[in-house]
Amino acid sequence: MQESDKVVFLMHSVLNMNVRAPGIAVHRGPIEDLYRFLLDRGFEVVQIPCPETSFVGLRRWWFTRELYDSVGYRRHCRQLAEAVADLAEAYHRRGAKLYFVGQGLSPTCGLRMTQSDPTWGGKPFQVPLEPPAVVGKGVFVEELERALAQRGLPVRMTDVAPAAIYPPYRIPREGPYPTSLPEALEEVKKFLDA
Amino acid sequence: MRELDFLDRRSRRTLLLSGATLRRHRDVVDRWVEEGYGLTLVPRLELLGTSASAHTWVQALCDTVEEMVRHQHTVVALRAAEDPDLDKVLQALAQRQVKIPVRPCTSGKEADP
Repeated sequence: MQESDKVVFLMHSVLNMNVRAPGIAVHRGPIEDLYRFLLDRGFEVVQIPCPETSFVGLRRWWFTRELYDSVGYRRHCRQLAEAVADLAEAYHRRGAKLYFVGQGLSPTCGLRMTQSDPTWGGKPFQVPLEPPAVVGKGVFVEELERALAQRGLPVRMTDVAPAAIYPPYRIPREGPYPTSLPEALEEVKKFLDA
Repeated sequence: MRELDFLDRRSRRTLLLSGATLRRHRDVVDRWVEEGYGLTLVPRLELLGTSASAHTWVQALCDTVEEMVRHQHTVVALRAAEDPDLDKVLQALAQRQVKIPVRPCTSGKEADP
């Protein structure tokens, strides 16, 4: 089989919502429209295992960046990021063009925005449905950028807008992302087609 | 607030397969996706040889699958005739005594969900 010259590294839940925390999944499995687009366009797809699932598990709370930003979780993300960067380097040596697609707003995989609230912690309390969204990156994305930069790898990076992966009550009203599902999908498709 | 108060469309069904199988047998995988299965892909591990990074990939995938099984998700492996990448993960799962059904990826009905 002929190798693709375009390789996209995706965060896990883009193809499998079953690794998401309870209460924030708008798809049964993959974002089907994006799954079809990637294969129709001939991308080779590399799916990065969900760092949150393998560290905290499937029965996890909604977290903020501060809750994940611990020594142990950073080490976990760094180890995975190094393994991802090594694979990206192998594809780069074979002449492939590299892309990364994270998950907007995720405290782990967000690129343009993440969720941050330093008051979360200690005795559990009811949090608002609206996300504590701030401009910033998730913990894994920071470690991945570092690992890619150390290897000098040219990777075009984006994240899927929250409107494609979160229920309406988790979509930030302000910020860089489109706020409807069609616009969110169009944005990532345009990025990958450019 | 309970989980049921929120939108949660997770199917709790996952198809484990190699990226190579996805590229070669997309028509088969499409049928699993239509049935609501999410995909968990094993990358081309041969590009990493026997490095520590290859080990990290395998263990991260096993952690994910084991966590799904522990939470009573349905996880099915779809195995092509020559599937060395998937085999590495299946062997590591067996070492952990995590059991999942393995379906042959053929052109026949046995590959369907």
